[in-house]
Parts: sequence; structure tokens; C-alpha cells
Amino acid sequence: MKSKIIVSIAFCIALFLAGCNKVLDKQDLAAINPSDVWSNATLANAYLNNIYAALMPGNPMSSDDGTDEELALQRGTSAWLLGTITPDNVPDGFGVYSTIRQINIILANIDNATFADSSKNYLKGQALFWRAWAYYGLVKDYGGVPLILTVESPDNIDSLYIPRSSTTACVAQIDTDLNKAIALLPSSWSGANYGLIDKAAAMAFLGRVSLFFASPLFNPNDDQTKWQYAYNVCLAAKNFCDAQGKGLYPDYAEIWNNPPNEEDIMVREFHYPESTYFQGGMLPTSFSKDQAGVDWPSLNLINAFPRNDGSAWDTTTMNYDTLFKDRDDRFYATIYYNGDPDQYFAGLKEANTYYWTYYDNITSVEGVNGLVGLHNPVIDEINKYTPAASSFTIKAVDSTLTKGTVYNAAIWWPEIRYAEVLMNYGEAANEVGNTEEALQVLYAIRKRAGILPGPDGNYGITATDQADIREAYENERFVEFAFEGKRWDDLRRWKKLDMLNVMGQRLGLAIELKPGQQDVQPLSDINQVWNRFTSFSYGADLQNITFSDNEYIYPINTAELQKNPKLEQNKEWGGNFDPMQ
Amino acid sequence: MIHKKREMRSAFPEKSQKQKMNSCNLLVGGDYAYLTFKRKDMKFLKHPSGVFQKRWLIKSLLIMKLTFIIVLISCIQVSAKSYSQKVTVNLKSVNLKKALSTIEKHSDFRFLYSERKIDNNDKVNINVTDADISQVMDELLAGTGLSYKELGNNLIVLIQKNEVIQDVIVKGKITDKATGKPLAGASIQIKGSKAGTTTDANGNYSINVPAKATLIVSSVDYKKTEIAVNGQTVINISLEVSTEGLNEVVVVGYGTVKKENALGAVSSIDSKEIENIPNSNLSNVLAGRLSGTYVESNTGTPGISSSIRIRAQTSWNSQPPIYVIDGVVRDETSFDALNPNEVANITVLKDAASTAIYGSRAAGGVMLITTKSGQAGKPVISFSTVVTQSQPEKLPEYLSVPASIALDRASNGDSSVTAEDVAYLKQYDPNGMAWYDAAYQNPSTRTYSLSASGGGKMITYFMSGSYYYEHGFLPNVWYEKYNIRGKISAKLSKNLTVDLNLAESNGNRNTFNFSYQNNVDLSGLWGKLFYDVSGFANPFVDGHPVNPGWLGNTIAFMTEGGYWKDKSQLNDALVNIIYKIPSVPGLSLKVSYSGNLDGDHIKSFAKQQVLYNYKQISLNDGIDPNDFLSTSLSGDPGTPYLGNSQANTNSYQLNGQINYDRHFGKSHIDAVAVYEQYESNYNYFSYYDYGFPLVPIDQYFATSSNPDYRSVSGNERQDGRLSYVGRVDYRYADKYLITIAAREDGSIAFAPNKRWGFFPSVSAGWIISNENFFKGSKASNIIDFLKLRGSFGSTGNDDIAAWQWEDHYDIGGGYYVGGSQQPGLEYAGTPNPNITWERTDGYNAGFDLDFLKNFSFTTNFWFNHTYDILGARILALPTSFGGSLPAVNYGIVNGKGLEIDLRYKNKIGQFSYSIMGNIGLAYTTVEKEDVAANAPAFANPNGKPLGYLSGYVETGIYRTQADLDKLPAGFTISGQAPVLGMLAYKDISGPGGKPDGTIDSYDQAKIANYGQAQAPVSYGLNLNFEYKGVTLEALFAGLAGFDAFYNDAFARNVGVYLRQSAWWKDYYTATNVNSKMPKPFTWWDSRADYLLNSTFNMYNGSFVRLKNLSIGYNLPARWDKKVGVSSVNIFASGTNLLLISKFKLYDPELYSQQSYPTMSTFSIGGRITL
Repeated sequence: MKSKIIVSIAFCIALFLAGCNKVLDKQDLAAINPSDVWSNATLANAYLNNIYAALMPGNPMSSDDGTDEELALQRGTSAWLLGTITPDNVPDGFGVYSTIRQINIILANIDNATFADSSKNYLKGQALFWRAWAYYGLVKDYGGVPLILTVESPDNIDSLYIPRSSTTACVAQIDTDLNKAIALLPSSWSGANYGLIDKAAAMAFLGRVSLFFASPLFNPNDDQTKWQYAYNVCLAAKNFCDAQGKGLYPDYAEIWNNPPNEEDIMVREFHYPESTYFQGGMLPTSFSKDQAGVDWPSLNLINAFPRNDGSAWDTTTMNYDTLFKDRDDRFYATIYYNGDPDQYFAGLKEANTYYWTYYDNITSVEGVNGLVGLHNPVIDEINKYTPAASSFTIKAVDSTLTKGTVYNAAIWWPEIRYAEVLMNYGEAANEVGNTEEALQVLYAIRKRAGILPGPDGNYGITATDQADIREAYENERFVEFAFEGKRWDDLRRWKKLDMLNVMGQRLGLAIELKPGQQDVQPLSDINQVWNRFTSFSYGADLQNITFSDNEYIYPINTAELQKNPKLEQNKEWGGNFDPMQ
Repeated sequence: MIHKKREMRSAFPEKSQKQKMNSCNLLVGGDYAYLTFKRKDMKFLKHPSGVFQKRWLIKSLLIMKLTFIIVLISCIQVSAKSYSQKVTVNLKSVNLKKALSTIEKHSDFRFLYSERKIDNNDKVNINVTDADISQVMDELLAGTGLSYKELGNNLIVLIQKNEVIQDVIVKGKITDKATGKPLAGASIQIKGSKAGTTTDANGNYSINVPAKATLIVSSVDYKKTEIAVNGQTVINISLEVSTEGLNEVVVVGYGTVKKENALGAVSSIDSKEIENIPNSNLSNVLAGRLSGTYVESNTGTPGISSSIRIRAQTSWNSQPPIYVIDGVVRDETSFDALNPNEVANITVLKDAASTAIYGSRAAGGVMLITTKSGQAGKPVISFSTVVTQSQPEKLPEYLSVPASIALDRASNGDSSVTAEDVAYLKQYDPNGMAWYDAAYQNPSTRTYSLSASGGGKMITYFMSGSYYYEHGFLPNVWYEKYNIRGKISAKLSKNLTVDLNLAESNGNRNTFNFSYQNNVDLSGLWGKLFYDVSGFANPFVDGHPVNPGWLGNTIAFMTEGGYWKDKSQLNDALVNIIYKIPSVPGLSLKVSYSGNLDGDHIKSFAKQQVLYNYKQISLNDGIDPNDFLSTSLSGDPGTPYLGNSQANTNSYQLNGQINYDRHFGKSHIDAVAVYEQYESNYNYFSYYDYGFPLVPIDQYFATSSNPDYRSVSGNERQDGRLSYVGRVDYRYADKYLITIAAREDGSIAFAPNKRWGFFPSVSAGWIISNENFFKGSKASNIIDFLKLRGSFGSTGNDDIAAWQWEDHYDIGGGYYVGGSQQPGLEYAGTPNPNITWERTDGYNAGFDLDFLKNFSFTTNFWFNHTYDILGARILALPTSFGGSLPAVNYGIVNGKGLEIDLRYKNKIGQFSYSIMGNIGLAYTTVEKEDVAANAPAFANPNGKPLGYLSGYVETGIYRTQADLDKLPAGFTISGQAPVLGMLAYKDISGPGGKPDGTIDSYDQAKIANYGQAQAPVSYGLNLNFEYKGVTLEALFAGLAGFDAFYNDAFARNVGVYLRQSAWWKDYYTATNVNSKMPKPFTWWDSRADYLLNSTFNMYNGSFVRLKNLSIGYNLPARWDKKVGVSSVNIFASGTNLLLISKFKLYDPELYSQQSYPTMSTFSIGGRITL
């Protein structure tokens, strides 16, 4: 018996000792060792990829700002336009600091990395570009912010309370980073690298930055040296892009449908199914899902498109029943109107119809959605949802979408296209007195838009002096870059948002079947049936727009002020920080 | 032998008899103690060694006896000896009762008398040596006015001198009520005396008793039964199996302890209480049954469990209790998978000293589950079934259709609902219930359970199988569960026992598949049946689902949209080998191995539905059912798909355990040392295929073959744990108890040098009622048992994300560039190599009190101090740092509370009843938690309860222009200038720390101490009645002391809905300025300031439910015999029959208004035992 005991005890002990060694010897099966990352260019590039994913913008649809480009769903005028922004409800943009830290990690490690210098330079150049990009996003909204250029150590929390640097210092840092990046980056990328940031993109972006900070918002005293600098870098960018074979793509509508093309300067590629985005709200509601009423063109925008002879659409004399007639190419590439024969996405083709937005009769324009009335029954299922808008935007809408597949949109997004490089240069040229250069740019833009040169060869541009050309630029950018996310910042930098207050409400267009008229057929030709409708415009906001001048520079969000005792609020918002310094 | 036995019994005071008997047996090993305890009356005969002959034991008992006598002498000068019928006693000036009890203690004689007939102030003297009992009695009773009568069995009845006592010889047979088997060794006692006899091997007895006496019949494992003699001479009694047999020992970590000696704060229930309640998950039926255990059922979805919290959560990290099933550490999933019919007992360890033996993860308390085992004897086969009809207990409340339309118009303008809409609704859906009624299916459940147990000397077995099926009130919502368990215990030799315990559980949970629903509480779809079906169209025309537009038809999603099916399978195999080492008394070894395979398979299939379009005839989608236009597909799912995912956890637990259990004189030691190791491997894999080229069929052959349309993912995880456990129980004279325990745990959640945590505990107890001074005191007349307890223990928590101690990068994300998706790599964040356990120091004090025979009372006061709580200090860190700090051990939370259990049991004739109430209170205070540097007071959690609620303080409604005129210039609420009908809020503070004339985030305050998850009060009340086989049980349970916000977006925001929430009764309009509610605004309107979380929409969530009401009937035994079964029980029951709460809009226990509601069930069932 005793031997049995000894055997069993020995067995247990052996079992336990054998187990001990392994039981706690486990590995994280999902991790990569840090030392591997900075000795292997492939891994380092993979690290950079996530910075691209975080910062490279895509289609800016549904941006909350709501400018005069578009009508709001259910007349929901934004807090910005109602002047009810407060430090509590202002969107908090400081989240980008997490990417800034990721970038700083690259910059801290790259010099000691053990792979080839060329790879190191390219990585470093891209990292510097993205840091500039991230800080630009902050500084243009808030003015100066804490400048974090190293990987801060968390050991002493008090040392992490960094005060805001002046706007000037921040802009200088952005400029420095971009200039370093320009020096390090290759002239262009190709093949599997096409779409990475190259020298042209960095120079074009420096142009955008310089133009922004030379504009009235941050240059209230019209300091000409800022304009001159902007002109210099914008011209350099234009020249460099030209040398790289970049230019205006001849067919405006195909810029988004036919990538890659020479218009791309900084572009984000999308592809189904690996890299898609949600485009629900942009489609007519009955094809949409999870969102509606995104980027409904306002009548104000529709009006702004010139006619194809270069003349302006004259709201006092022109008839909205035929607003689709004789407009420039950009109109047809941007606006979907009542019965537009362009079946611009697969869902419409499947339904074998055009989209009809008219009403049988309109009883009110004050409904939850604006217009109230029974909708036409052309295709009952499709027309069940009555949009308050009479039109949709078709710019950069994925033509493969059908009802329900709105998460699969995969249209390339050119964040900076050559037209911007050109117009940045032209606008700066005008401000430094080179009006002729400025006009040539406008002509080129309009020419590409299919506008006829006209007898004077001026493509309908009648401006000749600096002030008129400035106004022409404001109008041209409005239509050229409609729904490209530029309008809000343009109005801010020009300090022109008060014109929305003058406007009162953004206008919608109501289209109604004339009494006694027959409903159209799904595929009726609008040119034959336009006279069955009457149209009128109406104020489409819930309340009149009352933008407050304080909102030109955003308040810092309350949460950030609470986390960092050294962070000062902007002076427009009750603090001591002067963003104009 | 017999003589010695008697002497033993007389050597101990009655109160501690049970303990003593058990103590004797404990000498031969912990495991055997359990067995012999149940056979207490035959303990020496049934001793494994056959006879009681250990010399050392006799010696020790003699020593004990001598000690006792010495103590006695020092008090009352007595010496007494008894040899057979001769008595030696010497007492001076003691009262009669004392004298009688002294004689009882030192002889076999037992006295029976009526308390009120004895004048206890009479002092008696007696000094006899080896006297006959008659001589003793004569001397004793001289001058007392009392006489006596010998009844045989050494029973002596004291009577008044003139009284005539008639005595009878009662004979009879004691049998098991269920099986009819005779019970050997059952005890028959005369009430009010210590006299009695036991049954022979055939269950027969014979006893001489006074004609008016009452007999108390008892046997281990059976309910004690009292029966009045009333002149009968033959009394056959069948005893019912007691559920309290198990309760008398308390299951604790790595062992059991006698209830009287238990030192921890422990609650337990027997499965009998819950086995007839149909429910998909065990956790759902525990509410109100265990003090200090907070059960929260956020939904009634079939197959979804409740969350259980023991005492207070004292950390912001999750602290679920750990579930230990038959000694194996498992999780709530495994617990919920059990069928109540295979569970013997559920015990909750609440105080830190009890839980510390599970060290590393025990901060949230421990649930110990013991499954049923076989008993030696004839096979017992039992079958039961329950069928249930259900209905939602409480649906969310909505306004009527006309009231809803009025509200639509008030907020969205007069044109929001047209006259055509109204006419349409009047015709097709006047009550707004057309959609709900069309979706409703009769909910029901069915349960079947079959078990067999029995065995012989060598082998005992228990086998059970059960099936549960529940159908919800919505289409395609059902749950089913199969359980199989087989348990065999083989005694291979005198000292070697091997147990095998195999169990399998299969749960299948099915629901409809809709992209926007929560698969747990099914919110996101069915709630739309009341308020929003994308318009007013009716659901079906001629059986065809109508297309209300946009996403689709709510009911078609449920019936035609595919399914989501979660199949969970748990396989457990447990082997125990127990070896008692013969050469060392009291020493035994136990090795256990448990292999566990947990599989979870989810299959989801989503397809578009064909919907029918009809001509629209009113603004909000009224249709002309006679004008069919076309069909189209629903908008959801966007892309049909078929997906499978499989998660497996393969784990084992290996234990080696050494027990040592011995008496030394009055001392008793029970020690245990355990080695435990655990390893697991988690493996997850999923495969989704999108698009069906031809037809949507839920098989992969039908899916697209394009690799781009596939999505594959998976991951693996390892875990390991190593533990050393030790515990020593020491008991002296059954009065003084102390337990010291410790556990050392290694966890891979921490760096190797921070891996090991040491969790000690100590508890002590004092059984005052066993003290001699107490026994002689007046209190002893009231108090039957009193034990004081106190303990300290240290427990841990490692429930945090793993690998935070190691610097690493993770593969994830990526970017599409240059024509292909490129991989991404992310820095996983600053590591903290010093990260280690969260620890809780817990203190517990309490007492157990039995009084006035029928009452028992237990209370525990506790205090928990949790420190080193892990948290990333994100708030204290400026966002510009850009990273998250690693979790560090820094937080401190204190918790304190009180639990009370009170039980009253009584029997009047054949009517017996019991009332059991329990209440738990648990309060917390955060001592140290992350806070932003400039945070306003309300946002600083320190000094406040964990999870307190903050919000705005509402001060009324701006009802008149005068109200608005009073406001300071520029006053705004969230940037909006107030208008009439808006809610007014208190201007508490501003960025400068003072009221600033605007209502913004600085104007929030702490407005409630506790939310539902931290509900500080839990209580239950259980009533039981039994009369002649008819039983009635009622259980009330509730939570109290917490608040919740009513913030359902679709209820508070007023869109154009079919029906609007009843929240909007009585709202502000120009003509109703004295309304209860503010003015309604449309969606997006910034004047809708009632959307802010505030005192206005906060409500007291306290509720009480009638959780269970059941009535049962045990068929009389004579009927059973006729049909050849042992017992038949039939019952009817209802659950959740009554809900009492101040909050009326929906069931306050639910997670949200749209959570699948709790069901009221009505069941009938029966149980038959062969």
C-alpha cells in the first residue's frame, strides 16, 4: 500500500512540475515585435498605411456645416448657421492628435531605422506631409494649437499640459514640415505606389495652406507679403504639376468616373469590396438607406451655374421649368433635375425610369420635409418618398449602386485636383496684381467646362479689375468645386459667411404638375414634357440663417479645456487667446 | 457497543449532539463525513471500519467527558455516575429542572414534563450512590407536589400528584414516502423529552409513550415529521425526502462545512425551489432568492440570461462573479446552460474571506454549483414536464391614434397628417395595433426532464436528460436546449473512489435577421410595430406584405428576411480520484481533471423580401388595396449573404488536493492544500459570402463564387492560470472557530515579475449558544442558536485586456493604394510593465440566530476596499498627448452594505408554512478615479457612488411671456434663446465657476446616486404553504434605490408616427399652458431642450415583481400505490404575474423601451417518480 501512495504522490508532483513550466508560458498571438518594425521597410510602410487611412479624406458628403450649396434634410438648419454654436456643442477636432502621435513615432524612429536610405527619405517625407496636413486641419479652424512635435513620454503628466502656440508659429511649422517633405519626396509615384503623396501633392497642398492664411480671415490687414508668398508657392506648384504632365482633364464629368487621370494631384482610391464607403444619403430617398437628404443642391447653387455661352443664369428673367437647358458641362455633371435622362446609377436603370421629382399638387411648403403634397405616381415604389428638394447631386456618385448596396460605393476621390492648383494660383495672382494671369486661369477652367469662348474670347467673364475678378473667382469656385467640401472654408477665409444672413433662407425648388396635365411616363423626354410643369422657389430652412461672426474661428471644445489647464479659449469665446497673433 | 453509544450521547448536551456525531466521523476523512453525517443515528454501526474501536478516540472522548464534569462541578458541586439503571448523583440546592437535566446527562433516563407544572424556584437536594431510579425520584420529588411514572424505554413522566397518566405502546413502521422502502435507524422521539427509540432494519419501532404525547420522527435526508399519538397504537409514518439535508452542510471552496460551523457570508438555494419554473437560463430565476445577489434581467428574449452581481461592484472594470461548477472554474455561459433538474445546490459566496480561496478573480463573488449525484438504493426514476403559455408582461405605452395625430400636428405642423391619412387610419387601423397584431404569435414553452439514479455498495449513478423549448411572441424567435448528464461514482476499494461526471448542453437560439437590430434584446425592429412602419400603410393585403417604402415591411423582415441562429454546445468531462491514505488517519488525496469544450456556432442568413406596391392615396402612405402596381425587393439587407462563424474554447482544469481532517481532544483540524492549473485555447473563425447569383438559399453552393464577395476572419487566444491554495479550519470545543486560507495565483495578464498575487483570508466565529453560561441563562429560553462571525479577506481581479504589459504592434487596418489593399500596422500603445492585480480587501461581520424555535435570522455587514483598480488615465491627460496611457493600478473604490435573511417556519396540525425574506443593501463610494484637470464638480467622480447619474436640473416650463421676460439678457440654453413651452433649467455654474446666464454643460449636477446596474437594494419575499399535499408558493422580488433616464430617441423625438409615446400625454400648447410636458418640437429642432438628460426625464426605477406563484398537489400515497408509482406531483404556476413600479411607460427593468419584454407565463406541469 505504501508504495502505491508514494507512486501516486510522485505522480502528482511530477505532473505539477511538468505543468508549471508551460501553463503561464503564453504568447500574444496577434502581435508584432517593435524591433521588427523599424528594421523592415515593408513593416514600416504598413505602419504608414494606417496614417493614410486616418487622414486621407474621402468624399466629404454630409458635412455638417451646411453651406449655401445644399438644403438640409427636414429643414434642419445647422447650429453654425443658426449661430447657436457653443464650446459645448462645437465638434471636437482634437482627436487628430492621436494620428499626430503616430506620425511623431515614425519621425522619432526613422533616422535610426536599418533599411535603405531612399525608403527612409520617402517615409519621412510622407510623415512630414501628414503632420502638416493634421496641423493645418486644426489651425485653420481654431488658430494656434499646442504644437507637439515629439513622442511625449507619459511619465510626468504635468509636463503634458502644453499651451497653445501662436497661429503664426503653427503656420510656420506647417510650412517647414511641408518644405522638408517636398525636398524628400519623389516627383511622382507609379504602379503599386500610385496614390501615395508625392512632391506635386505636397507643393499643391502648400499652395492651399498659403492661400488660406493669406486670405482675409487670418490676414485681416491684407499683408501683401502673405499674398506674395502664396502666389510664389502656388505658381511653383502649378509649374511643377505641369512638368509632371498634370493638367485639366478634358471631360469634367469623367474626372470622377475615369480614374486615374491627369487631374489627380492628391487622390484616394476606393475599390469594391476592399475599400468602400457609404453613399446612402446622396441618392434619392427610395434608393437610399440609413441616411437621406445629403447634398441636395440648393436653388442658390443651381442658379450659380453659368449657361453654356458663359452668361449667368438670370433669376429674374429665366424660367425654372427649363433650368436644365443650355447650362455648362459642370451643371450636368453635378445636378440631377426633374426627369433628367441621365440614369446615373444602376438602381435607376434597373427600375427602367428617370427620376421624377414633381408633385401632383403641393399643399404646403412648411411640412416636416418642406414640401407637402401627393407625389406623382410615375413609378409608385420609387416616388413614394417625397424629397423636399427637386434635385440631387450626381457628382462622384458610384454608378454601380442599387437599392441597398449603398455601403459599397467605391469612387476615387481626388482631394486636390489640378483645377484647384490652377485656381489657387490664379486667385493669388489676382491678389498680387497679376490680373491677366488670373483671367487666363478662369478662361481655362471655363473652357474645360464646355463654355463657348464667345466673341470676346473671355468665356463670359466680364471682370477686368482686381475686385471684380475676386468676385468671379468666388463664383467660379462655388460651381467648379460644388460638393467637394471646399465651400465652407472658402466662405470662411473670404469672410463671406454673412451673405448667408442676407439671404435669410436657402431656396428650394418646387415642381408641380400643371392642373389637368397627364402624368409623364417613366422614360418621357424632359424636352418634350417640360411644359407640363410649373415651378416656384421657397425658403427651405426652419428658421432664418443667423450666422454669428464669432463662429469664423471655432471655440475650443469644453472637454479639451477641462483636460488641459494650460489651454486657453479663443478670445471671441470668452478666453484670452488671440488667434490672429 | 450499545452501552457505549448511549454513554456517548448522554455525555454531550443535546444542542451540540449533531456536531459531536459529525465530529466523530470527520475523523476518518472529509469525504466520508458527508456520508456518515446523513446516517447519524447509526453512525457507529455504519462506520467504514465496521466497528467503533479506535482506542485513541475513546480516550479523547473520555477526556472530553471528564473535562465537562469538572466544569460542572465548579459550578454546582455535583458528581454523578450512571451504570445501567443505577444512578449516582449528588446535588445541593439546585432547582428541579437542573437536577433532572443533570441526571439525563449522566444516565439513560429521560424526563417528560410540562414546563408550567414545575415550580422552578423549588430547590432540591439529593445525594445517592448507585441508587434505583425510583429512589432517586422519590427523593427528588419529595415536597414538590409532583409524582412520576415510568413508561419503559427509561422514560419517566412527571405529573401532578392526582393526575392519572395513561400510557400506551405505540408500534409502527417508518417508510420513505417516495419509494415506500422501510427506513432503518430512523429516530422516534417524544416531543418535549429526550427519550426515544430508533427503527430496526425493517423500519419497525415500538415505544411506550403517554397517550397525549407527540412523536417526532426523523431520519437523515428526510423531513422531520411530528405526529400526535392521540391514543393510537399503530402509527405508520412515511417520511418525505428533505431538501434541507443538503443545506445543513454548506458548500465552500474546495470542500464543505457544516452549516453551524460556517464562517462566511453564504447564501444557497436548493434546486427544488426552481426546478419547476420554466426558463431558458438558470440565472433568470435567481432574483429574490439569494440575499446580497442582484439579478438584473434587461430583456425577456428567449435564451438570454440575466446579469448577476454579488454585493456591490467596487471597480469600474467588469467584476462578474466566477462560477464554480463541481469544483471547476467556469463562466456564466456554462452556468446558464445547466438545467435546473441536474443541479442539486447553488451557493453564493459573498464575503471576501470565503471567496479569497478563489483569489485572483474572486472580487466579484463566487457562485458554487453542485450537480446532483446518485444515492445507493433502488433505482429512482423521475419524469417531469411543464407546458407554458405566455404573454408580454408589459408593453411600452403609447398614445391613441387620434392623440398621436394631434401631437404630430402640434410639433410638425398642421400639414404633417392629412385628412386622407386620418380617414385611411380610421378604416384600416383605428387602434394603431394592426402591425403588432399581425406580427404577434402565441408565445409558449415546453419542458421535459427525465432522470434516473440509484446504485449499490460499489457504484452509484445519476443520469438525466432534459429538453426545453420556448417560442417567442414574434415570428422566428425561439430557443431550445438539450441537456444530458451522467454521473458515476465507483468505490474501487475501501479507500479509493473514482467519480466520472459527463455533461453536454446544447442551446439553439434563433431570431430573425435584420441589419439594425440588437440580437440580444431584439431592439431595433419589433418596436416599430407600434410607432413607425415608414408610414400608415397596413401590413398585408391578401397575405402579401405591403411595401411601406425605404427599408421594407417590418413583419416581412421577421418572417422572410432569413435568420440568425446561435448554437452553443458545451461538453464537460470531470474525473475525480479520491484516495484515503490508510496509514495516516484523516489524510486523503484527490486528483481532478476536467476537460471542457465550449463551442459556439453562429449561422446567419439574410435575404431580401418581395414586397407589394399599391397605389398611394394619402400623404403618409395610405394605400388603395385594390390598386396593385408592382413588386419590389426590400431595402434591407443591402446585399443578401450567408455567414458562418465558429468559436471554440478548449480548456482543462487539473487539481491536486490533499485533505487532512482530524480531532485532537476538543480540537478539530480540517486542512486542505490544492494545486490547480488551467489552460485554454480560444479559436475563432468566420466566413461570410455575399450575393446569390441565382436564388438565395442558405447553403454555400448558392452563394457567389467571386472571391471578392467573401469575407474571412479569425483569431486565436491562449490563456493559462496556475494556483496554489491552502486552508486550515480549526475548531475548539465547538465554540471557537477559526479559518485561515490563502491562495497564490499566476495570471498571464501581467508581466512575469508581476504575475503572482497572494490572497490571504482569515475568519473567526464564536458559537455563543454552545457556551455553558449561555445555556443556563434566560436567553437560552428564547435563543436556540447564536453564532457571531467576523472575517477579513483579500481578493483580486484580472479581468482586463491581456498583453498591456508588453510593447507591441498590431496588424490591422490598412489602406487601399496603387490598385490593391495594403496591410496596416498599428502601435498598440504605451505598455505598462508594472500592471498587476486589482485587489479588494473585504471585511465581513455577522451573526446567525435561531430563536423562538421557528425563527432564524442571519445578517452580514460588509465593507470592501478595492484598490489598485486598473484604468487608463485618459481624462487627466490632454488630448494633445495623442495616445492612450496604459492602464495603471491607481483607482480606489469603497463599498459597504448589509444583508438580512429572516425565516419563519411553523406547522399547525397538517398545515405548515414558512415565510422567508431577504434584503441586501450595497453602497459604493469612489475614492480615486480619473478626472480631468479642470473638471466641474459634477464630472468629478471622487466622493460619489460608482456610476452616479448626472444631468441638468429642471426648474419648470416657460409658460408665459412673463417667464421669458424675467431671464437675463442673452440667456441661452445650449446656444438657443428660450421660447415659450421650452423646459427651463437651473443655471448652476459656468466656465468661471459661477452662474453665467447660459445653460451649458457646466450646469449639470449629480442628480442621482445609482443607475440600474448599481441598484443598491435587492430583496425577495418567499411564502410557502402546505396542507395535506397541497403546496402554495409565492415569490416576490425587486430592486430599489436607483434611477434611470427615459431617453428613447423615437419616443421623445416627435416624428410623423403612427403612434407616439405616452410620455407625451398633456403637452404644452398655446391653449394648454399649464401642461405637464413641454412643447413638442420636430426632430433636429434645437429648441427641443427636453432631449437633455435631466431631472425631468429621470425616474425612480424601483420595482417589485411577483416572480413566481405556484400551486402544487402531491397525490396521496395510497393512490400512488394503486398505479404503481412512488409519487405524483402536479402543479400550476405563473411567473411575472404582477409588476409594481412608479414608472409606468414600460418595464423599468428592461434595458430600453424597445427591449424584448419580460414574459408573464402560465404553466401546468407534473412530476412522476417511479
